[in-house]
Amino acid sequence: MVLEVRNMSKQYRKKNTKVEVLKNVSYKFEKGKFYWINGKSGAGKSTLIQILGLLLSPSEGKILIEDIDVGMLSDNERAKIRNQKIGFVFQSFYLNPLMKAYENVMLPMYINQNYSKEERKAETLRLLEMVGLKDRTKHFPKELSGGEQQRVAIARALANHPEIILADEPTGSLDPENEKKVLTFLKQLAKEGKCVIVVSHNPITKEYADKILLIEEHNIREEKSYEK
Amino acid sequence: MKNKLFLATFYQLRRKSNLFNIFFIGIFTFLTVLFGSYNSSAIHYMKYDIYDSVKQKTLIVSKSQEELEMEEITLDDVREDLNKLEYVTNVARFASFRNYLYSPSLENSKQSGYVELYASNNSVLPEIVEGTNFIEENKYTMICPQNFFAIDNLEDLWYMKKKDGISTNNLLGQIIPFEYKSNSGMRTYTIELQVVGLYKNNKYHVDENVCYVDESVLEEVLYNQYSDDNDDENGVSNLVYQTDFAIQVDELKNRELVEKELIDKGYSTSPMSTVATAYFDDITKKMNSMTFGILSIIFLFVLIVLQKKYKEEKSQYQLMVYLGYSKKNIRFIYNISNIFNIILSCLCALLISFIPIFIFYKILSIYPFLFHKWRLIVNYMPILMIFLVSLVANFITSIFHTIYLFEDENE
Ligand SMILES: Nc1ncnc2c1ncn2[C@@H]1O[C@H](COP(=O)(O)OP(=O)(O)OP(=O)(O)O)[C@@H](O)[C@H]1O
Ligand SMILES: [Mg+2]
Repeated sequence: MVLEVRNMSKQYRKKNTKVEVLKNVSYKFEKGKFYWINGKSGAGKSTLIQILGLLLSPSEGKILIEDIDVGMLSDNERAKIRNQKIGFVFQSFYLNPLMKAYENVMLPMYINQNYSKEERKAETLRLLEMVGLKDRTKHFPKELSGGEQQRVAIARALANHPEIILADEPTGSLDPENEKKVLTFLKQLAKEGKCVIVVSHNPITKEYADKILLIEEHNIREEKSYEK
Repeated sequence: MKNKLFLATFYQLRRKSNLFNIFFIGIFTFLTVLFGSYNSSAIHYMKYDIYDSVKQKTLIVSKSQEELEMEEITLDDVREDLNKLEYVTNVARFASFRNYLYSPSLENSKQSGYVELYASNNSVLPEIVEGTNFIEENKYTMICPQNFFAIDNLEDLWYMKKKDGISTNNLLGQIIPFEYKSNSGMRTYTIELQVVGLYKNNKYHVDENVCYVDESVLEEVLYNQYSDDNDDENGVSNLVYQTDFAIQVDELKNRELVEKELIDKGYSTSPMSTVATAYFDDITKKMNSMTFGILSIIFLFVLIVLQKKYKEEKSQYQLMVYLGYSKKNIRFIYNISNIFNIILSCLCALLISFIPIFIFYKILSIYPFLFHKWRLIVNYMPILMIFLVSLVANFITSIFHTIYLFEDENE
């Protein structure tokens, strides 16, 4: 079990108002599967992704990554898990505008220096080649198209060989062609044994998904009828 | 650690707005260096150069009339006594020690105005570079500075350029008439003094209008000023019985020794300071308030800059959290990056200061302007002040920012 949510609830509190988003959610995510998380706007998809990515703490319940309760870990240790075990892909790409493509990809390896300088370089080039941007390494994000930027972001998410890929609307800003490219890519990663979790409104994602999860009434419901 | 430091420092230079801020703060810091330097030069001039001059080597010595009568000694005895003191180079009756006399409009307007005449003798004259000392045959002589300039008001001298004075050839041998009125203003006297010698101007002391004459000449002037008044016989007698002497010490450092000895001998002493301190106080006040103004501007500017920088970079900091930095790391990077910018601003100010000041020095060596009387002192202290002010601004903003940086998650 690479990622597990156990009796997890999340409320946002602001002064006197309390927004109940997720309530007593339990689910086990496995390696090698492509999860499509679907749900109405405001249902709590982004909230769930952020909790899974250790960016938000649940109000109640536990998150376990490789059977380790991350709630018991220090801020530093959680940061390390984000760096080593989780890759993020966002709708807005979220690249650093002051860094060239290869620097963006290298950043997670740069943050925790497990690689030597040469290894870092080689790995960065490998990743950029994998997403088909070998000849655009020295370009700044603003010099790349949306699809290219998202591929840089995916390459960055794969730095440090994470087991979990979390994507919140990864194709939201892309045209159908690039959308297809990105989803194929994520599917490929799932096949290679990673746990890929994609939040999306787009029904086309269904074609790539191994499991479909619906967030409804503060909880996750797996569409059992659907299994590829 | 290395990576965090890089992201907090040199990486920051990629952001153009940061470069602009650094330069902007640098310029303002340079201005404070300018003001500070002007201030320091003026203060240095007043504290060290002027005080080192003839006036500060002068002491007023007196013994009360009663004491003189009790000890049964005359003023001549006192003069003899004072003359015997070590380090003392000139003794003159204070009443005649110096006097401002007006030289009326002459052909050369530079000779018109007030001249400060000091009672002197050959043993205490400054270095004579042309002409002679006082001569036996004629007591109505005077020794003038090489660069001579009668003034209407003292401030003129601070800004006077060397070439404004009267050239040497012109002055030597000339007979300059002076006018003065009796105390009641009823009678006008004239006295003519011939310039027999020229002394070398003190580089740092305002002495363009200071001339030396024999003591007896000044005494004569004083008698005329008082004796004219028929109703007040006391005027002259007061002068006669005035017990004050002015003495000059050979070097400033010996003044204390002389003072001590005089007190031991039962004299009372007081220094004679006629420095236009008000003028300097005025400069200092203006410069200080300008520096304070700039400091406040910088403080506000740094606050605004840090606020702007925080807004620009907030999402990038959050991204770095996604990619594996802890909140502590981010706080570290954020604070170091701010401090880095501040340090760079100060370095920038140093650089901006160095070049113009270097050029300024070069120009001064050719055209000294008002600095022919001043020693130019460059004061880099404001940079330190700005550094501290910026640090305070950084500290204030950073407290708020590091709280709000992760505000969303804390809910
Ligand atoms: N920081 C926050 N403070 C308070 N309420 C929040 C906060 N973030 C999200 N919410 C609320 O929680 C609920 C779930 O938000 P979330 O962003 O997870 O929805 P979502 O499913 O991703 O929606 P969308 O499809 O529009 O992206 C919403 O009602 C939202 O208003
Ligand atoms: Mg969302």
